Amino acid sequence: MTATVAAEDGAILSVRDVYKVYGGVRALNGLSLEVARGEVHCVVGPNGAGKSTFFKTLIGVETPTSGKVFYRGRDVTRMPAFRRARLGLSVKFQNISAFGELTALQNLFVPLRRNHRKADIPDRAAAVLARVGLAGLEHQEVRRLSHGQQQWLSIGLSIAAEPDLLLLDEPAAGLSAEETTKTASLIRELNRQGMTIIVIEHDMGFIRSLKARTSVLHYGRLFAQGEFDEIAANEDVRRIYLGTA
Amino acid sequence: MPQSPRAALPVRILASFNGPQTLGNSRFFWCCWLVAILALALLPCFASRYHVLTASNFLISSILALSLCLIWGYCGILSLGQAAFFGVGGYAYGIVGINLIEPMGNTDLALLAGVLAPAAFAACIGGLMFYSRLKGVYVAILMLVVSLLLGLFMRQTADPSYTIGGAYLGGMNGLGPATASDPALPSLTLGLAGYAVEFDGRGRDFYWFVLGVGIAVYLGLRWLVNSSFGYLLVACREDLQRTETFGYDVRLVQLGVFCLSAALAGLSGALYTAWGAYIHPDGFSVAPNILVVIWVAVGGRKDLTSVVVSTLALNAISIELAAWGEISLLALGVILVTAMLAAPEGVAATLGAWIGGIVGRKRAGSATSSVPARLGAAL
Amino acid sequence: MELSGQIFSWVYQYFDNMAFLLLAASGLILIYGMMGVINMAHGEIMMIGAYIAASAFHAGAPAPVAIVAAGVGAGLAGVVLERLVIRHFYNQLLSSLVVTWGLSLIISQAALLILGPSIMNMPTPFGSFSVGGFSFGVYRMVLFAVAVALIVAVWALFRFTAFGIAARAAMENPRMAAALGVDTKRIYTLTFAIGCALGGIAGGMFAQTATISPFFGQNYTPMAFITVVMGGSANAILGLIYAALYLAGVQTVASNVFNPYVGYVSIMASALIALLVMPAGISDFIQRRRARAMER
Repeated sequence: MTATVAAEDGAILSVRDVYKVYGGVRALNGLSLEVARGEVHCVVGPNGAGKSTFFKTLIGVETPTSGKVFYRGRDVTRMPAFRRARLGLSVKFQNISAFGELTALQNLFVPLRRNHRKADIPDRAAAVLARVGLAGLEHQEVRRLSHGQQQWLSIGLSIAAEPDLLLLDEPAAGLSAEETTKTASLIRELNRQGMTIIVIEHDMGFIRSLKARTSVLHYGRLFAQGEFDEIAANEDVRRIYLGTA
Repeated sequence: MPQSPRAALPVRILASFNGPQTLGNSRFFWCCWLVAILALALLPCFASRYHVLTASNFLISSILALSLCLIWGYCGILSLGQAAFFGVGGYAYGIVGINLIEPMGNTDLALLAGVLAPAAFAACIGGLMFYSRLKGVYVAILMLVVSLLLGLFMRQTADPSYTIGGAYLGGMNGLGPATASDPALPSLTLGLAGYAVEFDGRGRDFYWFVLGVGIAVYLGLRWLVNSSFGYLLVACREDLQRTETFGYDVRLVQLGVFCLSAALAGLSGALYTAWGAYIHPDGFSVAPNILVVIWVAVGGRKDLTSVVVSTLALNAISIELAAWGEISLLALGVILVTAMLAAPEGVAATLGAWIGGIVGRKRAGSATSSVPARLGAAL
Repeated sequence: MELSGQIFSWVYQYFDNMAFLLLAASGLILIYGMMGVINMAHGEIMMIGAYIAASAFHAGAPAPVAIVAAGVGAGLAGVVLERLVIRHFYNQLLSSLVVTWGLSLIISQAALLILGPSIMNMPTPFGSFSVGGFSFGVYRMVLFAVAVALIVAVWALFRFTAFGIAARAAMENPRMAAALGVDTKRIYTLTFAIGCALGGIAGGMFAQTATISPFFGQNYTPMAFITVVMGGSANAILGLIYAALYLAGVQTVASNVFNPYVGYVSIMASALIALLVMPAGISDFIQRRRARAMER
């Protein structure tokens, strides 16, 4: 934690010319992208655009074949996942990523015990659960929660680690319209409290409700970037989503 | 049950052994537990010498089973070669014991070696395995290979050149003294401040000593898995990658637990060597390795108490069956496969949860509901 | 002459060792590569095959017929095991490891109980030839040919036949395959049975070079596992071949320079090291290397 931190020029995360090759497939093909501190940044793209590979290289589960990833001004390209987490990078995986056999409270023990005393954890956990709209469900076994509730608990686990940068992979997957709206307002609320959030989504409808800066990936590269309305109006983006590009 | 911070000291101590990671957190359970311990403690008063001797061995087996329960049941690391650590502990105790019993007059250092040698060995292998992020199946099989390799090595040490000080590895004859003037494998002799107490492996004192060690290991592990570190272990078992993204170096967690488990297996091996004044290359072969897995899987790998109960019960069954001929291993194999089909969470654990459910309904909320999910009893 | 005999002897041993690994592992790799189950009872399946082959041979059947009978018998045993036990443990890698280990204990102990510890033998056919003063058994070369033939047959079965395509679909995406009308349960049973049949054939082949006892399987299981685990599952058959080429080389050199025990140990030790360098097996490692080369 003592390594020098380069001057932070407003970008909390910066990805430079990253390649990732699996077998014969170039999942990331020279991707460069910057995310500013304090923003909500959406990353979208059609299936196979490289979204989840991008996500994995950010959290440290995959190492890029070449290129660099900077977080808060330091090179984290080859840093293992747990060190990135200690630097304040927190994630929610695409699938449900809570521990199914444990109760909600026991789940929250895992991120909370790193920074808090055991005696304080139940109160902290209750606060986190209230924040994600699950107040009072401490003792519910996770696999008995509804799909939406599990998604929110997964987000709750990520924010319990008190991150600077929160990465959400498909937070609206499999949710009803009502649940999606609730998730969007939760993301906006967290952002108002100062958290930088990257949302990786397949579903343009959900992104629309966030009204945030948006990057479009296509064939492992940055295809377009801008405010959501510009992106939505962009003919080329429409084309790749309709599959004619 | 929630305990107020000002609860009496014994209640608070008891509470630290209780929690969602173990079955049996109610007062009813602890009363039964106390009765069981008392019965075990009084066993030498009414059982024959032979029964005390076998019971000592059962208790030693329970410690070995607990060591596997810790890594497999709680941390999700299956080792098919847990007997490797048992054997290393046994040989380390024997080698150091033979060399130091005469100059020191006790086996304190030998017992310590029996615990530390396997832990150090586990640190080497585990470091390589976990830091290269080897998959779980590969860890399981590699550990079996390591155990078989150790066995192969020990088997071919019949050559008289295989001596370490006064200890001769002895190949298929097992560990022994190098020359007639060297002492034999010593029985457990604890020295403290000039006094030395010898525990003859065949006697009651040894039985009580092992019982005490067993209780300490059991309670220590209950405390560990119900501490906040226990949540981390279970999180590693459930999803290693997710746990890492919360900022934990999961490799280090796995390595630490692996070494602790090896130390406990080694303790069991050292006690075994002291018990029979005997350690042999067969300790590394397939049979002992598979036996540990059977004890743990049949009992219920995710609960310490269940594992102890099943180890004692299955050992007793094996002894009974031995009277009928060579069918005990066959029977244990059938029990294992049947149990895994009928009660994947373990027979003892399933029964325990069922009893807990009945008692819990009678005194709403004081006990347990389903197997892994008990409502934060410790909180 | 002396030198050429020595060199031939090494080459001969290399192929012999490779045949051993390929034959012992062929059925295991099929079950692991296709179904993700490591069958710890594979050695015992081979033992069943060996007993069937020897019994059939002593009852008057010619050796090739006896070996086919071993394959059929072991395959049927595989059907029974899969139906009764294995199918409950798909997608539970560690549990399937434990339960198949339990099965291996049951089979070997039951064999010990029924057949006793006595041993059976089959004569080694084909006689021998000599090169440079050294004498070599012809049968060992037949073993190698059979091993290669079996591997090619398995590859062709899964690559080209309708069954193979359905099986690969069922492994890749069971729900989709089921929706397309593939009877995935039957596919699993058949795949497991074919794996066991290969084990049975291997057992029958080995029965002609080794003595048969209830613990026959234990001589083969660890080596077979090492080969499979080292090969990895990214491209199972290719991985198996690489692993066998490599391990046989290590074993041949180590057992000639030192002794057969060192040869055995060096196989296990080198597999250990190889796994630490390539945690997902050789086939995965080679795929990654290729990917990196493409990047450049």
